[in-house]
Amino acid sequence: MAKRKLTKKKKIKKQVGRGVVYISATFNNTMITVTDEMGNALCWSSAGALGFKGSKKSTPFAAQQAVEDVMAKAKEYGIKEVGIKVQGPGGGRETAVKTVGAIDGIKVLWMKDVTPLPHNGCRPRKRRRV
Amino acid sequence: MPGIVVHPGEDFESAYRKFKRQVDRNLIVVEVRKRRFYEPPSERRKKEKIATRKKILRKLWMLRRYESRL
Repeated sequence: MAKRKLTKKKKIKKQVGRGVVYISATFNNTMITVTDEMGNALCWSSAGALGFKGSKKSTPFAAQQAVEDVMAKAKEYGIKEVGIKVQGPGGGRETAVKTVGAIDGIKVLWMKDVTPLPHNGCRPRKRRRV
Repeated sequence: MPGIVVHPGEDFESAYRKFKRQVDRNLIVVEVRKRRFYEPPSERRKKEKIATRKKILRKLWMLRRYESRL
């Protein structure tokens, strides 16, 4: 039987100059996704994915690490200019935005808050009894 | 929806401060925190009662301070 030759092709990452950083800061975690201008996801990271577990996931430090991780990945796509979209009330919210601005080689073009707020929508869940 | 554009020549820090001021003014985080859990009418009434009591006590305290200065 003829053996199929396995040839590993080196994946060439498409080069995108400009992108959008989506920061989703929830009460329990901070997730960051970098997309191109059309909204196609390029790379992502989160505090949980970096090994922070439990309540450590929601800390500003974890958010900072996640941003640094995702921006290192994004640089492979040639990203130089970004816009930032933040949503959620989490603890990592401010640190995440600040860290994006502090990374050298990345220029922030705009910032926007896209937190969804209901116009008195569904009833929220009941309060935790702890 | 608050948002800013970082103008060419503007540094990130000042732009961020502007952005943060906008977000704080819109009380977005406060609103989300308030909506995290359902607040039943009984709890709402309780909060109102405490707020009214606080207001009255503050008024009384102001009045007493005013009288003591006379």
